[in-house]
Amino acid sequence: MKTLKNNRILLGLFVFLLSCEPDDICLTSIEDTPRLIIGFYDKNTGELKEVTNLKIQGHDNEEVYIFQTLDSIGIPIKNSDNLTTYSLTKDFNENTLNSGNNDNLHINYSYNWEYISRACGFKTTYELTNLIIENDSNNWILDTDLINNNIIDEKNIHVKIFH
Amino acid sequence: MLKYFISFLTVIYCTSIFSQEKINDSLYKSTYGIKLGIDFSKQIRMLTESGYKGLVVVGDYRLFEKIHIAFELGNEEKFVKNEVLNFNTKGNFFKAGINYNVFKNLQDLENEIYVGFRFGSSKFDHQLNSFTIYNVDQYWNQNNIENLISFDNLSANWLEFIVGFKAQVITNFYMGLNFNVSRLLNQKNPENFNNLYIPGFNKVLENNSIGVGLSYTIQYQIPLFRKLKN
Repeated sequence: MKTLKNNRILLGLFVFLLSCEPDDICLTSIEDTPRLIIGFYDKNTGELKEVTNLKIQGHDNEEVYIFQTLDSIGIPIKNSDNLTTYSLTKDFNENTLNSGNNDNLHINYSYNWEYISRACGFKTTYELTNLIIENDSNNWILDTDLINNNIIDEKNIHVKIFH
Repeated sequence: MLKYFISFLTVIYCTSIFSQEKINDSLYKSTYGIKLGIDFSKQIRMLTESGYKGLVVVGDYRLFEKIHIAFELGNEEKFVKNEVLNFNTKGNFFKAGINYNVFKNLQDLENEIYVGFRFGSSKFDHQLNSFTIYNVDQYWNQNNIENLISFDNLSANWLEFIVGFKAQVITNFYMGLNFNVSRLLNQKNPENFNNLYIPGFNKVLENNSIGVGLSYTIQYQIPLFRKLKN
């Protein structure tokens, strides 16, 4: 009788312990790999200024990242390369081939894989080296400015682009 | 006062002599010895759980009637693969502590229901084979990284609370089952990774330091001497 009682206690303990396993779920509240946050500014006034019908597309990527009029945007950069290149086309028209003014933006950086947790894995953080605007006969981007070299979150603008 | 005390003792002594005479045939000796064996649950785990290998030797020495000094030596290898991580952990560990037998055996039976504690210590290495970058934005679609990274010379210490039983199935041959709840005391964490599995401790949860385990032991007792039961 006593043994039976002991066994019950053991069984109870076992069930209790099994139920303690938490879910291995990556919560959405946990910050993921940050994007490069770009703000577009007026060259003369230094104020945020919208770029009309801006198409942003990564080189070697068939998908257009975004196409809209905006004054700031976060763009993803590659996880295991030191260079990501984007085409930024101003005044793009979907119906006309090669429309608008296209500038190529080269983003040079170093990357670091940071451990988060069992459920979320790793994330990448970056340190910007420089931004290069490819020279062409008619650049709409006039200047760039690195505000924050360390891309560890998406709270603030990392780079200013003047136009 | 002392006189009363002595006479009281004498009375007790006499009654005990008297009672011994009365149930003379229930005087039994019990065996003191060293039990040695393996934790067979590891072998069962090797069959049922892919990516697990383990060998654990368990033993104890009966120091007093109810107290056994217990030890465990083991080696474990564990391959863990979830949605975002793929790694191996391997290492050695030892545990030492005591078992207190709370079971009152009838006649010459020598079974145990015990509670006890262990101090555990492990040395281990991890090897990260591949992992996933947590990136909600899938534009570049290059979030799976295959990159071997080794994290060597890690260690952890913990304290375990244990409950279990052992039954003598044939002379000097014991089978037992026990559960343990352990709490990490300290650990040497790898840089830019975490100890998610510790040999001997089992799975480590990241939000608390409690672990659980189960063993199924098969042991042979080397009898050293026999002593009258109290």
